[in-house]
Amino acid sequence: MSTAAALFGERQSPRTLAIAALVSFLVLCAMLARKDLIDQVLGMTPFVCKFDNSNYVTLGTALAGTAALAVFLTSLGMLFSRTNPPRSVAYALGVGSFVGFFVIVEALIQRGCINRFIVPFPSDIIAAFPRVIVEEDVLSRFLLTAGEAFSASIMVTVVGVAGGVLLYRYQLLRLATETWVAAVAAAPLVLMYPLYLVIFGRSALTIVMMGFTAGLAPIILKTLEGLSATRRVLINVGRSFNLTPSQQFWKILFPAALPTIFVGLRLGLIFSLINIVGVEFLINFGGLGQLINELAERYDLAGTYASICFVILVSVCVFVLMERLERWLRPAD
Amino acid sequence: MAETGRLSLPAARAMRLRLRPVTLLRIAIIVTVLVAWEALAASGLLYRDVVPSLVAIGKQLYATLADPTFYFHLYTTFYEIGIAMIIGCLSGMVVGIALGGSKFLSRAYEAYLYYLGPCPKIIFFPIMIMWFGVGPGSKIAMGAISCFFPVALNVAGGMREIDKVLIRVGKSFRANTWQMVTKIYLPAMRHPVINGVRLGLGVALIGTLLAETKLSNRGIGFLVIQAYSIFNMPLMYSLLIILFVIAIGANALISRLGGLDSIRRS
Repeated sequence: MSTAAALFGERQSPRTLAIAALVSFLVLCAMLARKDLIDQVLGMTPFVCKFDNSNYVTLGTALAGTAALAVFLTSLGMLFSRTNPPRSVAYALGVGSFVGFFVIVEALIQRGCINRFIVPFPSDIIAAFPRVIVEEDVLSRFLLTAGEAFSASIMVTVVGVAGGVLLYRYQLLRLATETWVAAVAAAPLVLMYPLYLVIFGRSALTIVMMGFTAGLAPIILKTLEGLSATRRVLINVGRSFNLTPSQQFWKILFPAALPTIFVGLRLGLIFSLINIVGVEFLINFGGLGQLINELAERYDLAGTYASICFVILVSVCVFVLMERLERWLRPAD
Repeated sequence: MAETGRLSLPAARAMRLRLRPVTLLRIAIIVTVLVAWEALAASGLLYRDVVPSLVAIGKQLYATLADPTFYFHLYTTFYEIGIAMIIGCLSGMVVGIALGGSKFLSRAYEAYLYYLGPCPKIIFFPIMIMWFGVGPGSKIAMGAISCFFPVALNVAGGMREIDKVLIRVGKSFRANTWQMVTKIYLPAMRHPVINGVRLGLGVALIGTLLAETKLSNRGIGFLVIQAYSIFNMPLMYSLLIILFVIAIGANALISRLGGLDSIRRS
């Protein structure tokens, strides 16, 4: 709260700021809605530029509008923070703005401000959901993507953790290659998909291998990090019990590194999943990614939007599930 | 995502000077890989041209770098990524500051951003084509969407993690708003912001280039997919090498400029 107050000036009260931001937001919206009027005004001036035809001016106005909206919401937040509302109000605002956004879009399309051949009615999108699910065989597509993700994640877990252990075990190898692995993690590996297409053919194997490649580096790095961060005390305890190297690894090092390894696994599996769906979309093969591509190529507007929402819902569910699983598996920090 | 892929170039350089065995091992690994590659290329075990000879790749790399049309495509891609970064970073920072500054807003909206962040952004591409056309506009939009999320989340997190002591110090010096922003907030948030921009650049690059491979007639992504469709493998390898060098270099540069090496790896 104090941070925001300092950033946006303490002298202006949040209420003034909220009103000013709301007014500028509405003005910018009106500008976007009635481009023709602005062009008439511009026509009376020596400006050659036409508002309506310039994408960048439109984009700039839209961005300014978004910024104004953000400022408005922030100052609303500051107003609310003063009265310290319960959590439920915040959640309600979150859900409410979602619903409100859809209602506004619906109204704007109805008024003709938004081209209905570019953005379908939100109600149509919702109505398209059952159609997409029933007609497009979503269950088998989902299972296909899940199968690909599953095989990729098994491979990536085994190879990644083994790689991390290997680098930890051989210090020289680690010194030589850790920077390389970090560099690979930073590289846009998914762009290699045309190469994989040539090597593995346009098949599920390409998709699985792409997911594998994308998820590998973070798991190796995190395993290594977890093993290296094992507390000296724990290692010494193992030594004093005269453990063999394999006992030392399984009883001391591995359990100590497990929390960090799980962080790496979550990151790696998310990377795999993103790339699997992305490549499915790009090469038009397989499960959920292809669904979007197919509907888009059929120019089934509501269906395209609905399938995108569906894929996002599925991935969000998977992320939430993974996070819960990680929290469940991780001992308390 | 924030935890991986941080490069430590100065550290690596220091190591190379001091530790001879490491240098030797590195050279050995590189030589082994190159020899194995060349042997595989010569053996003809794999389908023809999938693993082209290194000489062919080297020649093609030189030819590509000497070709003026390549620079036209490179310029197109850079231009798209540049605009996408500007839009994505600015909007990400505005949203990040709004969320970081207000606990109420972060409770209301941050969960959506947090879970939407890792979704595969490329699936928005059909919509972006409808909104911004098949030209550079839709690629810029893809890059901007990709870039927005890491920047917004990092800025919001960074703003919340500013040490309260620093804020109190500023207050006790009776710093005005402007001084608070320039002397306390921005310097304190420097690392998360730069880290967000670094991650944002990575995903903006991926978003833009993938969009180019899907539907476009210019840009490096287009060149890659064209190399695939005419089955020019040396060209594809040389393009991928150039791309990876650029991406890894940009990543290392931002990390270095932002002094990310000096902070503890979280």
